[in-house]
Amino acid sequence: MQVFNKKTIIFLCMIFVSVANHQLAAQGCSDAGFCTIPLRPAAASKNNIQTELAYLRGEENTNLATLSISYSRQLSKKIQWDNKLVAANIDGSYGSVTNLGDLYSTVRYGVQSKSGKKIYLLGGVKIPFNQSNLKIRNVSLPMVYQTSLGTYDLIAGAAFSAGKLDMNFAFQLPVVQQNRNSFIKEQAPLAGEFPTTNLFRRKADVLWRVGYPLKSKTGKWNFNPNLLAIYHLGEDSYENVFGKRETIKGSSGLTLNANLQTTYRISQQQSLQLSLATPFVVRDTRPDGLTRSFVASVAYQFGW
Amino acid sequence: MKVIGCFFAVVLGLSACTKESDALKAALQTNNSPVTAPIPVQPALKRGVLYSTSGIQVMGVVKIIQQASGLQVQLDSFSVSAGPDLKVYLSQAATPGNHLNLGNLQSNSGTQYYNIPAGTNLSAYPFVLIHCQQYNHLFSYASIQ
Repeated sequence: MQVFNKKTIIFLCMIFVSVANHQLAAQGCSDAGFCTIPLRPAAASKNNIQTELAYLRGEENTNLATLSISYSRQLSKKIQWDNKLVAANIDGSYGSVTNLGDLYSTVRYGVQSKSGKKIYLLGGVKIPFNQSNLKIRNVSLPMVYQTSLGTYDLIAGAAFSAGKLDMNFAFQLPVVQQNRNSFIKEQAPLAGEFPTTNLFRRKADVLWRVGYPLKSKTGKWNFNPNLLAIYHLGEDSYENVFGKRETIKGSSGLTLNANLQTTYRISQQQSLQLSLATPFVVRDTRPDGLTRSFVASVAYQFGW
Repeated sequence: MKVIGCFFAVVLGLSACTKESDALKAALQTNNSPVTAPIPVQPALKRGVLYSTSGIQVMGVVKIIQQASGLQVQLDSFSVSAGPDLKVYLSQAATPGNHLNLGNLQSNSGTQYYNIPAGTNLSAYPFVLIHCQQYNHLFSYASIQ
């Protein structure tokens, strides 16, 4: 990890602001959620609890707030178990929805390579708390209003250092699709650009994050500007009004985000993290509702 | 504060908190206003009686009526057991599969109307179904003649 100075911070902030000002439509993190799962151990304590509050700007003037609570436990020198529960509030032209989203449970295994480098391998599951068919007054809602994608997913990942860079790879595969969304654009009571997502079926994602971590001389501040690439591996589909499945053209492809994470270590046991992210390359169509033009989050972590 | 309260209610109760916007409220009022509601005594082009499936209670009559705006399905003297995601289908058989989804069931009781898309070949759909899409459970069917 590099030691930073003020010029470096200003330079990185300018890059981030520049990217933020040149963003295209909106698709942030795939947020099938795994981009928020830490691939490296966040703290040295045996037990850690983290709460995180995030604000996300979505498509068609929707605003999302998520609240998550995480618990991680070091099971052995090499193995750590992480659990994260997410609830979300979405507010937009249809109204507001608040509900539990998903539970993530992952196990991380740290191994030493022959060259002495540490590599972290991660595997786990995402479990949905609803079937992605939340309604307001019996009106079916677009996916952006849903707090979960309604899929049981397998998650696998790896993290390691390559020179000064921090590399992360992950793969998220929906294995049980119980999405029962019933939004049909032609039957919607409000005009809008939300696509039909009746009985939506979602394809897998791969993620690649490359960061350039820096830390202050005192070790209190950590600073991790990073690029987050998410590739959606196929075109999603929905069932039309005739009960026939149709693929959604343009729903596969790349999303590229700029992300800035700043961590302040309050003590050995406690830390605060601020994260800012924005996309600058997006997919043509984003039917899953994972459309973020801006994401900001603050997290507090306590270990013992 | 309301949002924070809702978060806690959701976490503790494991149920969704929802609130409609003024725009949605207005749109729903417009859709259900007497001005746009069809005249109830419209003669039926086709009709049928609704039958229930196992464990479901249903009563009512299905009519196909002609409005100035196009064809509509009318559910008359209607009531059905509550379900989480009930849809109204025009169907080629007494079970879903080859069907035309007309939208969410508006209410579990009372007279209600559903637009049939222009160009629909009505003779290809001799059944009307009330179907729970979320749990893939058929609630009711009617043969329309």
